[in-house]
Amino acid sequence: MKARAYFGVEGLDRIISQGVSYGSQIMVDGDTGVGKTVLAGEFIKEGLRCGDVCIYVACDEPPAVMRYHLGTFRVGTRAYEEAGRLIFVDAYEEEASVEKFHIADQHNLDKYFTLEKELLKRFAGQRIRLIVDSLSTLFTPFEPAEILEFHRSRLKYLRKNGILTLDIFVDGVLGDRVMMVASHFYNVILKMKFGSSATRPVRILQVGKVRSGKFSSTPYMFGISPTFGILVATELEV
Amino acid sequence: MDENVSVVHKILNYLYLTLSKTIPAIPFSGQYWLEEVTRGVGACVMDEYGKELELSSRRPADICRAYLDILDREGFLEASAYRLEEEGENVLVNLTRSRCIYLDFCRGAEKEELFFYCPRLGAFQACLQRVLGSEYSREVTINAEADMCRGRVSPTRRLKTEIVTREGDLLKIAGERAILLPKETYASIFVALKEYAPHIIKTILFDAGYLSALTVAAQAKTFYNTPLEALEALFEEVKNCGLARVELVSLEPGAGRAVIRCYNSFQVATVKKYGWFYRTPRVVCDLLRGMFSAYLTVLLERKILCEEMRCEALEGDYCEFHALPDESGAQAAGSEPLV
Repeated sequence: MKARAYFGVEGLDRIISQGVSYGSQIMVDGDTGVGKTVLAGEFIKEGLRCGDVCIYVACDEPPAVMRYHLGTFRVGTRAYEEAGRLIFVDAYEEEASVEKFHIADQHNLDKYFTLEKELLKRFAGQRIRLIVDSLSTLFTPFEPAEILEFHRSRLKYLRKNGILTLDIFVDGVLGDRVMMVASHFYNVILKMKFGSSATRPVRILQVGKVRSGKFSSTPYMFGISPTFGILVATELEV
Repeated sequence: MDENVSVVHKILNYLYLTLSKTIPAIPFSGQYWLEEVTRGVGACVMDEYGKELELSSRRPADICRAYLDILDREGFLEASAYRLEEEGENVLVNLTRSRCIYLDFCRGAEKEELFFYCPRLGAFQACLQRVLGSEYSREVTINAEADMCRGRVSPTRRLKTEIVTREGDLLKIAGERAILLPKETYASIFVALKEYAPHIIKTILFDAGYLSALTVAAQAKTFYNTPLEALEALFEEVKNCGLARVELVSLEPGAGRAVIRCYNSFQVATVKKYGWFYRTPRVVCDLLRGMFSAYLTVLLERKILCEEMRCEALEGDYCEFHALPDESGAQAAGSEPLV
């Protein structure tokens, strides 16, 4: 049977009960501070335990932040890094980076794509999870047409090569039209939002796919536990 | 030596050899029980004949000599066969092997690769403890080619004991009450967790292994001089408890690194018998991972994290763990301070 992949988040994995195939692309679109990077951490943890190679491209913070985050969940990142199973790509510090893999110039999508492809080729034949956190940051300086052109060819390449991809987008960074068109290229879309509540903000998660130009899916409440990570209340539809 | 004494010697050797053969079949090791038996015999001799001990001084070597003299007078051995020397507070014991009354036991244990504990040195330990009031440990080196045996009896802070013990009705591990569970119980707990709180499974196994291993690791640290010795003793206990057979592939204490292999992990066996508890195949030995992380953290006195890089549940015939210092600076939520 062909391998299926999961997020490593119990409630979320129950929602996508069949999992996703390697070669799928997942878009995570969410508010600032809602827990997108936490979700990325869960996705990496799950991949490492399942024997995947995980490549994390850190655009919004240095890779040390994700190392620290994984450390709080007792993941010994060094062992995986030394074994070539966990790769951090620093797209944050640019020239100042001390990481083995870094992107010196964030303002060149072609260079980025070349590096991404080179890196992926090194692990050809293995199951790979690629996480870009956040892709919207990389896209910021570019025109919509450039973004969509790059995006289409990149995702086509990733799909063809069986790369399980998790692209993170910070809500509001890119225009609505770009987001709408870009979202069509993904197999699965996860929306993570803050919802309104009379007493305090609540986190809401929706999993689905854009169909007929519209995204509609059941919203679920979720929380973030410092011990257990993301907890999705599948019994509590909003 | 008269014929009756020879028979007594033979029977004694049979007795010790039988004990040695029995020990590997006893759950929870039992290797130190043999030490206690030999010391116990010495203590009984002291109870019976101690008043006849003619001490020329209270120096350890003289005390041991006086003990041998008692046995010589009783016709049990020839004290002149033993050459005792002083080395500081230690007593060095030299003996031509062919003159040792425990030769059959010694050779038999060597031939069958059984656990051996020299009854003579055990008796010296008991005698010194009785006269001086302090504990002694021993080590023995055999030079088969030269037909010589060389033992050393040295003062020790405390005697090594079994990590798993029984006290009255209670089974204890490192002094804490323990229970013996069949694999079925573990599996049923796991099934219940999966049903009622699936989100905690991945976290609690590591934590349970880690926290439960801290006490036993601390005890091993006090018993052994080096992290390597302590780690080997702890791995022996992991085997004795039926969790897995553990092999230390490499240890670099200074760098805080280790590679550990496990054969017959009970967690792998559980998955093989009851199926995957997870949605996808993965490494499953989180409890052992937590235990090894705790052992190394305590013994190397720095925060160490183990990762299972290969699991028998997925491929091959062993699991492999890589341990490295955790330099992320992260403190796991809800955990005890690690060092």
